[in-house]
Amino acid sequence: MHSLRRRKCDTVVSPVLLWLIATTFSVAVTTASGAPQTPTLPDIHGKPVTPLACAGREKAAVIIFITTDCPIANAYAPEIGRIVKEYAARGIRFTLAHVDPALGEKEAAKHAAEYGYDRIANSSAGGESGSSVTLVNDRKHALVTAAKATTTPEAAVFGPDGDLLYRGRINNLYAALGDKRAKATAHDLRDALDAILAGKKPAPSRTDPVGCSIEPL
Amino acid sequence: MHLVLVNPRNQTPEPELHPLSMKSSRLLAHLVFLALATIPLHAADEITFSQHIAPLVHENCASCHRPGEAAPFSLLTYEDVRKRARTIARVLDDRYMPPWHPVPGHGDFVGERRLSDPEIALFNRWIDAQKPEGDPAVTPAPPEFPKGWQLGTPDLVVQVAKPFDVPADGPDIYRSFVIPLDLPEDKWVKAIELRPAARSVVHHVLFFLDDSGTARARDGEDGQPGFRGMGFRISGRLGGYVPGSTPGPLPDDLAWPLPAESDLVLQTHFHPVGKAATEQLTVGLFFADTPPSKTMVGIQVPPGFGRGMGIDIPPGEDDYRVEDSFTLPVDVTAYTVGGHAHYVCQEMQMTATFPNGRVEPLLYIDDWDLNWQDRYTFKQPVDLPAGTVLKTVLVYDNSESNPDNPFSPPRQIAWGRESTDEMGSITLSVTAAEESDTRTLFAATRLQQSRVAGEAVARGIAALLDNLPALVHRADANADGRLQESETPPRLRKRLFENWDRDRNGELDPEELAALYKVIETIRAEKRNQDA
Repeated sequence: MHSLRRRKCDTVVSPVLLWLIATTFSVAVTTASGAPQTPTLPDIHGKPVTPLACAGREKAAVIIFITTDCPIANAYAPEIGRIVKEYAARGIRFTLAHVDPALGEKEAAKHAAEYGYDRIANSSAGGESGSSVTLVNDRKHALVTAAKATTTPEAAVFGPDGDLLYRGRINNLYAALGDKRAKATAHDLRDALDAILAGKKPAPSRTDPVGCSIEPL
Repeated sequence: MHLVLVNPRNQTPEPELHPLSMKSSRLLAHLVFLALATIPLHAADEITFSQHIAPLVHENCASCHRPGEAAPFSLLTYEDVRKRARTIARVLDDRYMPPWHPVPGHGDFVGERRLSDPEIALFNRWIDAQKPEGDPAVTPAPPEFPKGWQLGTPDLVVQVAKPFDVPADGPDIYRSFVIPLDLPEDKWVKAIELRPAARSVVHHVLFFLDDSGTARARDGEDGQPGFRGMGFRISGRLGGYVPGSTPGPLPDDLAWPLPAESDLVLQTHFHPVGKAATEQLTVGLFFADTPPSKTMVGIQVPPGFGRGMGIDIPPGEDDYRVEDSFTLPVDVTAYTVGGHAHYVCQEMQMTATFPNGRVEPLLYIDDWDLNWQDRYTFKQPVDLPAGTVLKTVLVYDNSESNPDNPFSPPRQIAWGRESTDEMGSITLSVTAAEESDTRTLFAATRLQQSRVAGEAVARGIAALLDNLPALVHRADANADGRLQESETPPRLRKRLFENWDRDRNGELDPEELAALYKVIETIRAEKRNQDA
């Protein structure tokens, strides 16, 4: 518990604690003050992590919701990789959250290898903070609920205080389902992160994502 | 109210797809869904996967959404559908899926992949009811498809020589691969089937023939297998492959000619899917035993994919129209219709106006998408008498608000072969009612081509005449009254100097310019007379 408070962002907590938390709170709970508590959930190797907690110099925690079989989410893999490489080094924490509750660890690892996420992923030991991404299985939709996410791919950016600073599309490459531009002309997630890094509020703070609908549990 | 619902277990087993039985069961399914949509359901009439949703999904989705096919996931089992129900409902509501672009009521086509409104409503009501599975014992078995080639054993199987790498992301790739066939004799092709190695990245393939060797010569010119775009002389066509379309033989005894000296060219549209892939296409050809009794003639309106129609769309223009007509010289029967255009084309429509004034719609696509270009086969071949006018209308949207616009901000887009240029036409494949009339029909299509080409030349000359003296004056940088090659705008250099630099000294002197102006003036006067 001590380490959980001190180094929130890349803390590994004990599986027993995880089990306790997972059985006690099936989704993220909200404290009396309204600020969401930080859910703990397993990474794709089964190790518990706390994606929303930011510590030290980290300025924001980004969750990108994906599934292994959403073609639009998969088509974004290279751009997600580039964003992680560029912004993780500048103090943004990244988590890729699988929203399919039935997804197994092996399938998640295979998908990560196919789409190059394994090359930018934290090792399950916690990895090198500030330069990579953590892949998690959001089986109980704790992160989906915290972000009120509806779609894969969809990005949610939380500030150090747990405020949802941005939620929506990564960019406008897809104008609609089946309507892909030659290239994106608005880079909403990058713009939001640039704003946060410059000490400003992202504008717009919400955009409509295009992709696959997240099936409620 | 008690509804008798289709229980496929009680029907005669259908291990293989059979068009007739599919049609009748589909009709029955439509009737059932219609009934469900109009009659309030009692609690007992719960919409379940096993009874209602499985047949719908199996019939409309499973041909692509099954292992090894182009779709990104399977839709066969309850779990497959349950876990993606919202996404499915969304794409049904958008009519993004099943992919089917012709507007209903404009041509009645084989293999229509389109759900009715009641069917879509039924799916949504199933979701509202918390997606009940029902009794798994009555869930129909997923449809079975032949393993491997869908049409049997091909008479000839050929493969692109070398694999081509498709990157993980970036813009779509249009690439042509040439397969030398080196056939010892002419053949007639009844059907063609494609087997991609990496189906998810292959969006569509159009099959062309080239008897000039130009495609073969370009193969590998940039160090990669195949070549960019479409720059070769098309000497024939063998249809195409689009996801969702089942390869089928041509109707009746029709067949495509495949002359012995032809190379097969596969114009392939790849779309990156987030991970790198390698593709080496395999094609199966099914030959006809005997030559067809009728010759298929493609009537393209406008001809030449609109080349010569002066397609030149200003940036911001959201309703640019191109129209062209062709009058049938003889009685014909139409079998298939298909359009082609690039990104900023928005709508395309072909109608047939009969000599008695009746208008028959043949094809209307109101959300043209280059990704889903298909050729549609009429359920009943359409008889069109001599004197019928085939009219094509193409509408282009070159504004910023068109997300398909390849340029942001929009730019002037003119006719051209690059995918970011534009073109457009609709092709109706017909046979003459009397085979002896085929020559007349061919001659008329050629005349149409030369008419459009002639108009283009006249337009070009008229524009040139208006501009040329001023242009020569401007271009004459050293003001010597002569136009040196180096002074001439590159786009005009070849045209002007090949024809008018008669002494080949690298400049147009005043005499040569005067001769040029005189000829242009003559042509222009002729055109004025014609117009009058």
